[in-house]
Amino acid sequence: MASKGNLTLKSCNGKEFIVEEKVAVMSTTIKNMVDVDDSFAQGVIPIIGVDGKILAKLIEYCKEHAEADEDEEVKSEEYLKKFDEKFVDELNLNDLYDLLKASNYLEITKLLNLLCQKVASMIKGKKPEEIRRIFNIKNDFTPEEEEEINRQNPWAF
Amino acid sequence: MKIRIKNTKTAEQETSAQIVASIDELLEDILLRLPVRSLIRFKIVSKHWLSLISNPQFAILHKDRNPKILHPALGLFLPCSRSRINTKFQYINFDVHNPISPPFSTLKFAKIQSAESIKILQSCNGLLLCSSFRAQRPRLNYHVFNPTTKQLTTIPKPYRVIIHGMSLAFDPAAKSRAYKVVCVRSSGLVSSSYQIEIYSSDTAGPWRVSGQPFTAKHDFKNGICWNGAVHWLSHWGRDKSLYFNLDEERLGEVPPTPNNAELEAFMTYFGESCGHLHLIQMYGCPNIEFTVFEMMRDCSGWFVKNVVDLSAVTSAFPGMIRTELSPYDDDSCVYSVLSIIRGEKEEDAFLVLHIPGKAIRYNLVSQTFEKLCDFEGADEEEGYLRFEGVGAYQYIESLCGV
Repeated sequence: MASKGNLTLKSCNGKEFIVEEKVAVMSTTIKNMVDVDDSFAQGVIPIIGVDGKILAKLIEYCKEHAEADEDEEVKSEEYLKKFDEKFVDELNLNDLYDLLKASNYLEITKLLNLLCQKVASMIKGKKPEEIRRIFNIKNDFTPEEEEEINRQNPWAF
Repeated sequence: MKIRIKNTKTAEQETSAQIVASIDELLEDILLRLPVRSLIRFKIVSKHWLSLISNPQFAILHKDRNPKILHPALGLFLPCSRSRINTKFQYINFDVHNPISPPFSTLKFAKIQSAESIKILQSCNGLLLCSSFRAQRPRLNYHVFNPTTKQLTTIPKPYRVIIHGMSLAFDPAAKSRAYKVVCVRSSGLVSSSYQIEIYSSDTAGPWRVSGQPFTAKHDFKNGICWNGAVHWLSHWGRDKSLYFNLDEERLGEVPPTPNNAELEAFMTYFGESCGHLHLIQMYGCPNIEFTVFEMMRDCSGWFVKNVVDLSAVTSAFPGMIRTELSPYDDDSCVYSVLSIIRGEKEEDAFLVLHIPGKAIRYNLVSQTFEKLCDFEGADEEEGYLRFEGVGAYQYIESLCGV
């Protein structure tokens, strides 16, 4: 049981994390749960579809930002920028997409923006076939349709 | 809850990347952060991506995300002939180190009846105003074309009278997402009396008369949109220039540049780039030195932006020097200014010069220069500028729908 001001988050594979409320409520989803139903604040909040490893990462990020929000002097904007850079650079691809998914579900806007930006900068120079491979997308154009689109934009490729 | 968890059998085999791309909100959030060029390329990924990227709402969101970011021109289109139907366009890349292939080489659209070919009248923040050729039919058709998305719209024909000029006004940073076309036509009452009519894309017409008939002596064929107004120079550039403010729908005048009271400009460059309106006027043959004027933000007059000395360029490209006995002064040389391009920073400003057989990029701040391209058949006879007086139209990437 978490002490006052702390919340317990439980990953989908059963790992529990005790975090300060101000850290947890960086997630709009968690904030809404706590605001609406007081029992969540007392008990354990299940984080559906997010495993322990990813949840630990999320908490690491939120902790850093929640503390910065509280005390700008200790953690300056520049410090956070560096932290963010290092944070995304150290993620492997799988974790990156898992985190993205989780921060979308938990509505952690800052992190969501950071990760979307990361993915955008990773894919912006890629070829369409590489994009299909990365996201496992089936090319559902007929050869004729594909040719027509290519014909319209030959310069983009 | 925002996530969409699939409960199908294949769910376990789905990669995280795949799941991310299957959540439309997330995918859109990522795509909105991409440059226009990538988006155009990614249209071919799948039908779903094509529909997301082609959605007009997406273009608006993409624009709104960075309303203040300037989009400097990437290159110039030069029509190879002023009068020929189906003319080819020479494309000049501004970035010689990372050139892009030209968005188009001819303007011909299947959508337009009888395969009529069109010419460019004006380039404005990513959109081109085009018309049919007069030879094909006496009453011209006018089109607005986005060369990035290849979207084309034919605008309704204005009132059946003599049209003196059509100008496109499109400001991607403005709240209104619409573009307007300003038509200057004969008022039909007195000769040399004009009337302005406006077409707006948000209502898709009809043409609307604005203000009263007025008299003027201006070059309504070469209007330039800048700072919420369409600007026209006077014929020969000696008198006040005229502008039409689009929000207030009123006309205004700007005093001419200081040194042109007596002379008629022999060659004029008048154009806009990244929120700056520039003017160069030359009297007699192009001189080795000339002045670039820029219009003051409040339209109260012109200030000297740069005084350019091209001696270093003529030393590097002696083909520019006039060798025949010239009736003009000794410093005259052969070139024309195709464009002035500004960027985010002051030191990004450069001139695009056309010299015999070549295009040159001349930085206005560092005064350094480099060759942008050789024109085909570059061993042209001396003193000949192939693209003189044909007009040069900036290419700016935009997703904006027409």
